[in-house]
Amino acid sequence: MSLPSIDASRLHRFVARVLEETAFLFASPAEPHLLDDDDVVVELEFFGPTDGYVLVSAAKGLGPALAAGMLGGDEGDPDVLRSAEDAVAEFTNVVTGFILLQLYGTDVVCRLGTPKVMPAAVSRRAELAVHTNLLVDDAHALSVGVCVYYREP
Amino acid sequence: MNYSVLVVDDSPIVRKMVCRTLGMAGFDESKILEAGNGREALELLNVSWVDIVLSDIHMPEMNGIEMLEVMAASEALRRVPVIVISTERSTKRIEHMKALGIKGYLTKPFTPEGVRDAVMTALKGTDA
Repeated sequence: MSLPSIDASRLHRFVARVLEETAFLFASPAEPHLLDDDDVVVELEFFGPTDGYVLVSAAKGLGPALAAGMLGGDEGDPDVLRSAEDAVAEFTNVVTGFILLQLYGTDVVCRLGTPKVMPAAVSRRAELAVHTNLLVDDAHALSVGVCVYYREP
Repeated sequence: MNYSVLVVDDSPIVRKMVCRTLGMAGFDESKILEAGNGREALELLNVSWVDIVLSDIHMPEMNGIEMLEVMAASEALRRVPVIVISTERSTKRIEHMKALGIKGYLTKPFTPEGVRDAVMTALKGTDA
């Protein structure tokens, strides 16, 4: 049995669609950006026929932009700034739902963990099997990656 | 509109988004209650009048399905319509929630129109 895979171009299209539908942000393909210490990194584990995790790395300015789009406020509003990490976490949650659909379809029940915001330095970025890189609103780098593996017996 | 709504999601920003959507649809935002998981929601349902619940599934402590199971088993809470808003797409799980009596199901990302229409449909026929 082979590990399920996900198509990078479909991942890219869905990530762009989520950005547009949740926060009115527009994205274009980009070169991989080097992980910066200021990035907001969110990891969300899933458990199903195979386990894995989704890792989202967002440049520092993207969190407020996402939160502003989601809440209909300005990026400088205190409430928006307070919600910046939560916005990246929720974005990760929605993208993960799509990834599970692509990996397993609708017949399988999976369990999701809780999105974890973590320092860029400890993220497991090197393990990612597939990823997509975007530039959001011509300003903010974003990368979304997926790692899938069999559970240890 | 004079309805009391309970929004259940562990993400504060999602709760704010749903509250904002309901406000734009004409609901009185001062009558919207919020809970961060199923257990908090049940505590509120036991002490407050709620006309409709909008709930996520994947939450810590008590998830949305566990909350639905408690509500379905309760004479008092069974009457409260629930709409689920989630990333979940498993047919089996959605069918289970329908069997527990949910009145609507929306996948994230949701649109304001989708939330408004689902809430209005679910509230039709209620006496609030």
